[in-house]
Amino acid sequence: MKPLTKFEEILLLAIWRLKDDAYGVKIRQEVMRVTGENLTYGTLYSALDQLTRKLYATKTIGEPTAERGGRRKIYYTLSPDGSKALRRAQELTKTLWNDVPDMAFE
Amino acid sequence: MMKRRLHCTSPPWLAVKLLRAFLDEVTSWGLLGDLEEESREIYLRHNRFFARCWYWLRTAEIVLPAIKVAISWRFFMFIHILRFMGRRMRRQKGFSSLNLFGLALGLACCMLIITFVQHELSYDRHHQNFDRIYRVGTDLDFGGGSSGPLAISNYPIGTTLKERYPVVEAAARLRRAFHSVMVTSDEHEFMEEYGFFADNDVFKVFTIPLQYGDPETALSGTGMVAISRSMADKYFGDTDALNQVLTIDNSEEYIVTAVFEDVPNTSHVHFDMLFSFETLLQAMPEQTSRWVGDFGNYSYLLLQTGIDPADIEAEIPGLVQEHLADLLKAVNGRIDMFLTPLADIHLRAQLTAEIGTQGRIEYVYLFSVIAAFILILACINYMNLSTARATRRLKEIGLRKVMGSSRHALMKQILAESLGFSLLATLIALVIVPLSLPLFQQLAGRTLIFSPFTGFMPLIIIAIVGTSGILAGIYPSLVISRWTPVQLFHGISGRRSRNYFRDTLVILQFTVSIALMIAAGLVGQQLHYLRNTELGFDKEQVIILPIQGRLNDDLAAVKAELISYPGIISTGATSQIPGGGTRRNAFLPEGFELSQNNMMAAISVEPDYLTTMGLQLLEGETFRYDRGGRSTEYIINETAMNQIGWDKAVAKSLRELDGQGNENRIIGVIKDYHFESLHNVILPLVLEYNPDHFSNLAIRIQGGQVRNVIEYLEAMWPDIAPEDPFTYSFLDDRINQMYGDEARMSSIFKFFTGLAMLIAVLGLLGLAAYAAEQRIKEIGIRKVLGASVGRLIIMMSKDAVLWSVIANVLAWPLAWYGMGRWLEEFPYRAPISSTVFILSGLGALAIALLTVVTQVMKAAQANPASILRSE
Repeated sequence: MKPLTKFEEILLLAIWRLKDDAYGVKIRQEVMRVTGENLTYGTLYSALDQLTRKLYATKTIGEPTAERGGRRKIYYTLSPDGSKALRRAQELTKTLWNDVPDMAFE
Repeated sequence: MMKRRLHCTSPPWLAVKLLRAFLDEVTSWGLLGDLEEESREIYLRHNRFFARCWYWLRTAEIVLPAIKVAISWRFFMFIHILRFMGRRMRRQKGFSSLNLFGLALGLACCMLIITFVQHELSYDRHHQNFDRIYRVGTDLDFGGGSSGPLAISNYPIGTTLKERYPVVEAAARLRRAFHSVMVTSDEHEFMEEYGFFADNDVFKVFTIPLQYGDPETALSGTGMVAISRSMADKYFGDTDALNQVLTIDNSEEYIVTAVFEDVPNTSHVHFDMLFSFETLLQAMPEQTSRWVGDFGNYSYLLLQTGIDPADIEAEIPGLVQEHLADLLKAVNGRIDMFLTPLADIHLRAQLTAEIGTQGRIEYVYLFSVIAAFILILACINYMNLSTARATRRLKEIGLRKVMGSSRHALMKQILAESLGFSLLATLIALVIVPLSLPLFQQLAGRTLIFSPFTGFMPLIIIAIVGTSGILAGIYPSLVISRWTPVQLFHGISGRRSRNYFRDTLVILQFTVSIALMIAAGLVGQQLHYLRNTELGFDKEQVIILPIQGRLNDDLAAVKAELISYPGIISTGATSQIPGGGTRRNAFLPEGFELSQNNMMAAISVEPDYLTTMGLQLLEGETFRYDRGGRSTEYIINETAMNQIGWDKAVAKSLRELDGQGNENRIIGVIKDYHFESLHNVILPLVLEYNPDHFSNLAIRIQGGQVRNVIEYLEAMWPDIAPEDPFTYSFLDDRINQMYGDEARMSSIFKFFTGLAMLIAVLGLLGLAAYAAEQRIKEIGIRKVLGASVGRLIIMMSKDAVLWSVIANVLAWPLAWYGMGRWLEEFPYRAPISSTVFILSGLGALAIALLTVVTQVMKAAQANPASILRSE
C-alpha cells in the first residue's frame, strides 16, 4: 500500500474528525480551517472520489433537506483501510519528526 | 426568520446548468446541495447579492479549469491530427495528390453546376412583385387545328382586364420593336437588337429602377423612349441623356425620357430601349380594339395581393365571346387565353413564340443529378483510396489502439482527417471554378457569376465540405476502427480477403461513366443527324442578305445586277429563311365546309426562290414574274395536299380565312421540305408570291467562290442600302444554330463524361497501384517460379475486366432507357445504334485496362531479387 499524499491525509483526518457530520460543506470548511487556503469544490469532490475509489472512505447517501433545495447530502466515513492508512501516516510522521527539536528551523 | 428562510434565494439557474454539464450525476447533486446550503447561510448572514456572487465564484472555480482542460486537449489532438495528415501526405505524395485532385475536381464541378442551377432558378426574382405578375398567353384554333400554347396575345386583352377588374393593378404590353435596327444620336450610330414598345405601366408591373426620369410619365406620350444605362453611356457618354433625341432607322425620332438600370441577365426578357406604346397606337389607332388578327404582344398583369389568377382566367372566355362570338362560331374555332406566372416563364412554361431565350427545368434537374453523381463519384474515390491506403497505416492505428485510444476517438480522428481533406479540396476547387467558368459559360449558354461568398453559396459550400468529408470518411472510419490491434498488426501482411464494398464502388463509378459516355455518344449522333438529314433543299453555298434599301424598292434591278456576277448562280427573295418563324393561318380548301378549314403555314416567295433553294416541284408549275406580285396563285406542299385529302391539287383553290377571303388557285405542289427546324413535323404549307412580305434574299453561289462573292457584295452594298451596315449570313450556319440546344447538351455531356471518366480513372489508378504494391512479393515469387510478365499482367488486371463488364451490363439499359426518353421528343431522330453502346463499353474497358496495366507493369517488370531480398 502506497503512503498517503499530504492532501489525502488532510482529507481523511477531516472526515475522521467530523464523524457523523462529514459531508461536502463541512469537509471543505474543515480543510480550509486547517490549511488556511481556499479549496474549490471541484478539487474537493475529485479528491473524495479518489479516496472512495481507493477504498479509504465510503459514501453514504443522506436524507434530502430543505436548506439544500431538496438535495441529499453525501456523507463520507473512514473505512478500515482508511484507518490503517492514517495510522501508517501518523507513524511515518512521528518517525520523521522524532529527533527533530522544535527550534531546529527557527 | 422562518419566512425569510422559505422564500430564500434559489441558486442562479445558469450556474446550475453549467455545473450539471461538467459533472457526473451523483457528484453534481451532492455538490449542488453543498453549494446551495452554504450560499443560503451566506444569504442569511449578508444579503442576496452576496450569496449570488459567492455561488458564481464557486461555480467559476469548478467550471473554468474544466473548460481549459477540455479545450486544450482537443486543440492538441487537432494539431496532432493535422501533423499526422501532413506527414502522411508528404510521404505518399502520389496517392495524396490523386486523392486530393479527384475530390477537388468533383467539388469544382458541383460548384459550377450549383452556380448554373442558382442562376436558372433566380430568373425574374429581382422584380419586387414577381409572385403577383402574370402574362397572358393564347391558344388559337380557327377550326384548322390548335396553334399550341403561345406566349403572345392580342392588343386589347391586358388593358381590358385592367379596366374591368380592379384587382388587376396594372397591365403592360411589350411588343418587339424593329428587328435589328440602326439607332443614331448626334454623335454615334449603332445597330441595336433589343427594343420593345411598352406601356407606361411597365414600370408598375416590373421593378425597373430608373436612374433618371419619372416612372409615372416616362412612356405616357408619343415619341418617347426609355433607354438602359449602358446604352445612355454608349450614345451620350458623360452628357445627360434626358431629353436627347435618338433617331431610329434614319426616320423616326424619339426623345429620351428615362434612363433605367441595365436589365439583369436573369431576366426572361432583355431590353435596351423601351418605346412608348402610344407611338405605335397613334400610327394604327384601330389596333386597340382588334381582338383578332394580330397576336404579337406580350401582355403582363400585376394582380393585387392574394388574388387567385384562376379567377381572372375564368373571366377571359366571356370577354372573348363578347367580341368574337360570330367569327368563332363561323369557323368553329376558339381562342383560349391563360395566365402564366412570371416565375414559370423561364423554366417551366415552354411556350411557342417566347419573348427571349428560355431555359428548361429538365436541364436544371439533369444538371443537378449529374452534379450529385459527380460528387458521389469523387467521394467514392476518396473512400476507396483512403480505405485502401488505410491498410498502410494499420500500424499507426494499431499502435493508437494499444496506447488506449478508444474506437470512438479513432473514428473521430479519421473523420476529422477526412473533413480536413475535403476542406483542402474545396480550397483547390475554389481556384479551379473561376478558371473554368468561361468554358462552362459557353457550354451552358449563360452568363454566370460565381460568387462564393454571397447568397446561399457559402452555406452550400459548407454543406458540400461537410457531406463530402463525412461521406468519404464514414466508411474507412467505421471499418478501420473496428479492427482489433491484433488484426491490425497482422493485417499488414495477412489481410487478403476480398473487399466487396470497394469493388461495388468501383463498379458503380464505371457504370456512371459508361452511361454518361453512351449518352454523350447518342446526343452527338442525334446532333449529327439533325445537322445532316436531307432537308428537302440544298442548304450549302447559300448566302442570306436582309432585304434593305434598294432591295426593297427595286428588287428586280438589284437581282439582275447580282446575277451578272459570275460567282452567283441565282437569287430569290422570301419572307422566311428555313428555320425562321412562319405566319400561320386557317385556309379553307375548295369544296369544304367552313368548319373544315386547315391550319397552314404561309410563306411568301419569289418565283426564283424555288430554284435557288433547290425545292422540287412535284406537279404543276411555279410562279411567274409576268403575272406580277400579289398574284392570286398558291403553291402547296405534299403534306398540305395529303391533309386536305386531294390526289391532285393543281387547278383547285384555297381561301385564306383572314377576312378578305380571296379564292386563290393552286398552280403547283412541291415536295415536302423542312422549312422549320427538325424539332417540328412538317406542317401543311402554302407558298404565295407577295413581295410585301419579303424579308431576306437567298443567293446561291458557285462552290469555291464564297470569298469573291462576299467581297463583291460588300463592295456593292453601299450602292444597295447606303444607310444600313452590311450584314450577311450563311444558310447552313443558320440551320446549325437552330440546334444550339442540342449542341450545348452534347458538349455538356462530353464535358461531364470526361470529368466522370477522369475521376473514375484516378480512383482506379490509385487502387491498381495499391494492389500492385500489396502483392509485390507474390509477384516476385511467381516470377521466380517462372511466370511471364504477360501472365502476371493478366492475373493482375482480371479484376478490372470483370468490373468493366459488370458496369457495362448495368449501364446499357440505364442509358438506353434515359436516352430513349430524351429522343422521344424529336419527331425526326437518329436510330439508337448499338455501336455507341459497344464503343463506350470497349472504351471504358480499354481505359480501365490501360490504367491497371501501367501500374502493374512496374511491379511485373521489377527484378524479383530486389523485391524479395528484404524478407
